[in-house]
Amino acid sequence: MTEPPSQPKPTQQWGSRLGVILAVSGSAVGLGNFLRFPGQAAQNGGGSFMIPYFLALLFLGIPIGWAEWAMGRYGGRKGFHSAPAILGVIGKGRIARYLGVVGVLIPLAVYFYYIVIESWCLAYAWDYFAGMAGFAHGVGIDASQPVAEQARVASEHFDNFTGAKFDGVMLDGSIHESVVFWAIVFAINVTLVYRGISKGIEKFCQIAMPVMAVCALIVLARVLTLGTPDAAHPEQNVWNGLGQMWNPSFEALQNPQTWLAAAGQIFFSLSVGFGVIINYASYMKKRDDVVVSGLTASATNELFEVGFGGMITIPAAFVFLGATGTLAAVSAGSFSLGFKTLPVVFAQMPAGALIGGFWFFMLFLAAITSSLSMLQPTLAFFEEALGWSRQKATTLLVAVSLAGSAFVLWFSKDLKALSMLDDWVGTLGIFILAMAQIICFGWVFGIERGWREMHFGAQLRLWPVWKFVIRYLTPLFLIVVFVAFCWNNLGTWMQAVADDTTKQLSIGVILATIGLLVFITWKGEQRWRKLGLDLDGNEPPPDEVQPKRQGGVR
Amino acid sequence: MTTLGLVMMVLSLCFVIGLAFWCYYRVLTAPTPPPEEIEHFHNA
Repeated sequence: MTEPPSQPKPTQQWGSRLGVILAVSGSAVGLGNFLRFPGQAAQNGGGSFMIPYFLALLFLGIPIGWAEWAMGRYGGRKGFHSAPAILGVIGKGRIARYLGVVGVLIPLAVYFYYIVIESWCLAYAWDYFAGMAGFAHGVGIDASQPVAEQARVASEHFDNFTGAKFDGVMLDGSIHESVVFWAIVFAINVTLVYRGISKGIEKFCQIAMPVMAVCALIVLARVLTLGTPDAAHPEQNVWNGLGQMWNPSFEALQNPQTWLAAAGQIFFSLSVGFGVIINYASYMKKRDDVVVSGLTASATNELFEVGFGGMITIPAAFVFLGATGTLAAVSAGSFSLGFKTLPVVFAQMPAGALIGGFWFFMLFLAAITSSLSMLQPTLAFFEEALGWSRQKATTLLVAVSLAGSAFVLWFSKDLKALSMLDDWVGTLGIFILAMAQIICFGWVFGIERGWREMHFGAQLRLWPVWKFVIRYLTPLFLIVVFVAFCWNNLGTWMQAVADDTTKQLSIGVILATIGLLVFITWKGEQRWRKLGLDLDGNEPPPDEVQPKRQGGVR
Repeated sequence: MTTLGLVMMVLSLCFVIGLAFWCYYRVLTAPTPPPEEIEHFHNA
């Protein structure tokens, strides 16, 4: 009589259901909620943008999220916590397992540059708070100067701080401020992740998420009570600022670009197809609800995105810069809006330094709860594929992420390295992983089995129509968005790589990271086979075996 | 802001706030799983 295959014991678990929800929400809520979303909405039909946006939430974001939560919890029950191992089980074989490498590549490579942006947020918050207390020079904007001069100072401050004018920010012989903040933020992230799922990530998110909401409420209250600050421009008031964001232009719905932008925003904002949810859900208990938990995490993200992002950024900019200035700021991109335009707005605003401090501290919290979620999937992968202790795996994680992030910090001119990783991994990679996941879940694992798995321990029974959505509609929606996205961008991106050495080096970094992850997956595959683990998903999880008949699987 | 703009804003805010409150209500009032279930999982 053969023994049932042994499975590794669960080493970590979430302390509470609310803890995992806040951690996943923290992962989803990022800079894009406050900077990218309002820009996308204002540029693509204002209030009417919300129609394709909510449709994409319903038929793209939420179904992929549910599939990820269910796959993650199932993988965790089989003792696996990394995307390659879990997708191998769900997708029943090597192809899915090696596609799962993308689920480690995305969080790791995005971490390389996200930590740099995160350090900007902390530095700006410090500049505002310490500037008020007289410890620092602040952002250096003089509100008595003309707005054009203030914009020039804000832009110069950002370029100097981020090293956007030249490569090799650490080369000038001085200890650069941005490097100091980068090191601080890096150390905080590694320490929290090393403390573990429950003691590190969960505890931090349980504090950081409410604090972030309080900061957002303070900034929102200030923006909504601005009234008409400049009597010479009575049309520049909060009411019209909200109109700039929310007045619908229904003709925009006839433009496919609007639908693509809405789907893209939902997709990138919810952290689906990122390799994070699948890892976080693997630490859940067997009967923990995934349906309501997934929906709650998505709802929290939407609350921050629509409730705060949609109400703060554009109205604040409009009140001080007018319609033309706001549209120019929005079209210059998220970084320009967040780090160049808003400091000018805060300079004009009563109590602007305090509000600026709260704003950038809120962005820092949004960023750190996301960056933590990027380290954990990689750490879990190193631990389970190599069979290493947490300490040893953390050392490798620090070495790899330090090298990757130093590359981004060094090649800072025009933020080229950062943009390349964002385009090729943080954007293209997400489509690939989401597609692999939804196909594995709906087609290979099987929608009936997936449906049962989703509803195991669920508080809410979904209408059966969601089966059709997950199996057919979501993959089709994803394919259309992906093809349109590639059609619009891939040619330009390829040309840009051919023309620029830094961009070629960035591709080299991505390929080297893929090579390392594929090698570790191969090593893990050998290790898991040697241990007799069911890495191709042929057996049910050990806790599904009837304890009475089998005498238990302990 | 136009009336339609106000309608879009109010509807969007009501939807996201309502959904979030409903979800958190469900999460916070959910019964905790029986202890033997947790014990069984830990020993699996």
